[in-house]
Formats: sequence, structure tokens, C-alpha cells
Amino acid sequence: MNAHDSSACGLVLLAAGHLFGCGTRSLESPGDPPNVDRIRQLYEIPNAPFQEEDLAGASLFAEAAGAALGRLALEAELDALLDTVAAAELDSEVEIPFEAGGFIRVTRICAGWGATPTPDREQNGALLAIAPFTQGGIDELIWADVERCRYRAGEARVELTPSGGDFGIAILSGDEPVGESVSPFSLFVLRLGVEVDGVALDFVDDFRVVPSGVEFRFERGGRSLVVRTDSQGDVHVRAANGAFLCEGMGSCREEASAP
Amino acid sequence: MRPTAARRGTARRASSGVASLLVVTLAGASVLPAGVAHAYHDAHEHIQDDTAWTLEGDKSWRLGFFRLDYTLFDRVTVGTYHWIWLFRVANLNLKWRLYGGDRWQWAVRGGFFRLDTAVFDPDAESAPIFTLGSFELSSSVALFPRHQLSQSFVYTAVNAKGRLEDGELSGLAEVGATNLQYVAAYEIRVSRQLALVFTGRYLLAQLLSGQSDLAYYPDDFTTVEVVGSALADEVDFRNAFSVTGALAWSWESFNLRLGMGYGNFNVPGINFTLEQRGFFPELDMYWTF
Repeated sequence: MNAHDSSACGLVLLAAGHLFGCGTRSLESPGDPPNVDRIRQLYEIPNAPFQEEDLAGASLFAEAAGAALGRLALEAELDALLDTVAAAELDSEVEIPFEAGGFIRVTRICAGWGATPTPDREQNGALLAIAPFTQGGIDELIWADVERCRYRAGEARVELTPSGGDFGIAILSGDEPVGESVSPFSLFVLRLGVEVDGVALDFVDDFRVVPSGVEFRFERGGRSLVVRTDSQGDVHVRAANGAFLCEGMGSCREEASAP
Repeated sequence: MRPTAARRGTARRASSGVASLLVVTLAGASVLPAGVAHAYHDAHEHIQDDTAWTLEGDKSWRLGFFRLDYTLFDRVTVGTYHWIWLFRVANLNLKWRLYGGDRWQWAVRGGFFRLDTAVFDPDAESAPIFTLGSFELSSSVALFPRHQLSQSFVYTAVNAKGRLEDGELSGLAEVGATNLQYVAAYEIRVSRQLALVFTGRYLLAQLLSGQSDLAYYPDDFTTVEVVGSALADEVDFRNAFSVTGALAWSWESFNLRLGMGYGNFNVPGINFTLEQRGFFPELDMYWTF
């Protein structure tokens, strides 16, 4: 046995010692992460073919979803949560050259419906996010539970409630930072009940923020297209049979597939 | 804690006073009651440090500069490092020579240390508590007449935990360190009074680990908790070792050991190996009766 082998053997023994409690106590578990692989795959490789007769429905869907997203100011709420997670990572001020793991738990009390934001969790509810990390940084998937979160979006009173399932919001990071935000997260999967001024809103289950805008998944016959509208009002569609740019109704042509 | 480690560390600090210590010790030896059992090196009396041997025959006590040991039962001794009690470090170790054959001896030894720093600061809300546990498996074999080879695996785990309160940051933090060493000691009995002892120590692995459950409050709306652990092998210095040559004298009840070592110094008390290599002295003295 050479020196390296003996050290490796020792490490195994020491690790065993840790397992038997000779080192430090076992960590609290953050719970099981939600599985969003299927949705991620559908955004990366849509499985519905695009035909021009789909354009009207897909376009309307993307416009409505984008408008609802803006109306709810949900992206701003989530960005605040994510920025807190990112800040927690930076605030650790530790360059970690060794094996590390754990999670960051952020509890963010919602601002409420009053004229002035009030940190009253009982009245206004909260978002409770879990962000696992290793020595390499925050994991690509974080998730949050929603505790009857109330806030104002302009004059509108918004209330988010859980709609069942293991999580309220799951956020999967993309490879690149998006826009001016320092947040690298891109795919948002929502299991939320949404009310605006007391009226339930039929909101999307997921959306993806990409450098050129926000993509929505448009389901058709159990299959998915990915749709995005740009600032000129053109519609970009990614589908099983390619990527298309539709300038106005009915005039679509193939384009490069990168969003 | 390992006995040799304790000796080495204290010896280093006390090296300038070795001569005066010898004078005091020899004077002490001269006033011990006559008629105590012999402590010469022979087939029934062996060095106990870094070996599987325990006190033999009618010997029940070992009182030294650093340790006090008592034979509870045949082949079972309980001991303590008495001087660190001055620093409120409670400690106890138990050695059991579980097999004693003609050629082979096997022993296990467990040690425990505990320091609650609240004794130094009674007002502290949650002062750190240090706990150390060690386990050692040893064997000794008579290779030839007057030649003994002893080998040991020594596992040590240190744990420190306490509460952190620093401005907006608060929570529990815990740090652990573990260490595995291989020790070989070769003893050559030159005469009834003198033995040569060569000791080698090799660090198989040394790890640090930490855990925390900290919370801070960046604003009135937000609570951030960080629950984490880390494991580092940066202190696992590759090929860390030490070698020591010592002379061990044994008179009727008094024993003296003097030597010199080279290598990665093993920190006494916490039994951890330093990265720097160098020379260090070795000194121990004790009485058996």
C-alpha cells in the first residue's frame, strides 16, 4: 500500500467515524426537491409540431400569460426572493475549497395589501424558499412553499395560495445570467392558486425567462409548444418540427432555434 | 490524547529546565519507600507507552509527570492526565490488555476529554464545549529475546460546539476533527535498567468538519437561515510522520525516558499533527509501585 492508498483508506475510516457520530451531528433535511425534469425537457425540446393554424391560439396564450405575469408583478416578487438567496450565498464570505453542503432557507414575509408594507406574517403570509448548496455554490434547483401570500401589484390586491402538491414554486437555474438581473434562474414552475382583487385567475403553470424575453409552454392535445412574443409583437415558436418566427398572423418562417 | 504526544509537548515547553527537573526527580526517587516492587526491564516488566503492555504483577500504580494510572483488575488500567485538570479538562482513559500470550499481547484503549469553557466565563450564555474521544488498538510481539515490536492504530475525534451571537447573525456552530495514526515502537532491552526505544508515527488521515445552523435578518421581512456542513482534508498532510529515538531507564520504581524526535510534531492534548517538520525532544518520568 503506498502513501496515497493509505491516506485514502484513512479517509474512509474517518468518514465512517463521522457516520457513527464521532464527528458532528447529522444535518436537518431540507426535504425532497420537486421533480421538474419533464417540464425542463419540454422547454428544451418541445414535443408538439407547429402548424400555422396553431398560431392564433399560441399567440393569444402568450400575450395573455405575459399580461397576467406583468399584472401580478410576480416576477418582481420572485426576483426579490432569489436576490435574497444570492445575497446569502455572497454574504457567507467563505471561499470553500473543500466538500460542503447544506441549504439556505429564506422566509420572506409578504408586503400585504395595506398602503405601507407591513412585516406581519400572520396577516400577510410568506414565501418560504429552500436553496440547497454545495461547495460549488447554490444548486440549480430551489423551491418555495407559499403561505397565503398577500401583496399589492399596483392597485390590485394579489393573493397567492398553495394549489396542492409538494411545492408552490420551483425555480431551475439556467446557464446564463438573464438580462440585467444578477439572478441566473430561468425556469419557473408554479403550483399556485392566484386571486386578484378576490377573483381567481387562471394563471400559467410554468414559464421560462430567457435573454430575449419570457417563454410560455402552450399545450395542445397533451403536447407542448414553446411560445414567446417580442417587443415588436412578433411571435416566436419552438416546436418539434423546428423554430418559427411569425410576423403578423399567418406569415411564419423558420428561424434559428436558440431562444 | 496520546501519551507520547503529551510528553513531547510538555517536554518542548520544559526543555530548558530539563536539568533541574532531573535533579528534583532523582531527589524524589531517593525518598521513595524502600521495598517497592522492582521495575527493571525483564520478561515481565515492559514499557507501557505505545505498546500493548499494562502494569504487571503486584504493581498497581504509575505516577508520573503527566499521567496517573491505576490497575483496576489484572490487565486493566484506568488513568488520567493529571496536570490538565488544572485547566478544568476532565479526562479519563481505560486500557485493557485483552490478550496476553507468550509472544503476543493485544490491547485496546479508550480515552475521553471534556472541557466546558463556561467554567472560565460563567456569564456566557452558551460557551463552547470541547469533547475529545480516542480509541487505540495495540499489539506487541516478542520478535527475539530482548526485542519487542509494538504497533498501534490510534483514532481521535474532537468536537467543539457553541452558540454564535454576532450582531444580526446568531445560531449554533459545531466543529469536529478526526485523526487516524499508525504508531510502531521497537524496544531493545540492553540491560535490566536500560532499553532503547525507536518509535515511528505515520498520519493516515486527518480531517476537519464543521456544521452550522445560523440565521440572520437582512430586513424586517426576511429571515435567512443557513444550515450547512463542511468537510476538509486540507489538514490531511500527505506523508506526515515522526520518528523518535529514546533511552528508557528503569530502576526499582523510578523510570526515566529521554530522547529526540524528528518529523511532523503531534500536538499534545488534541493529538493532531502539524504541517511543519522539525526536531523535538522527548521526556518522561514516572514511578511504579
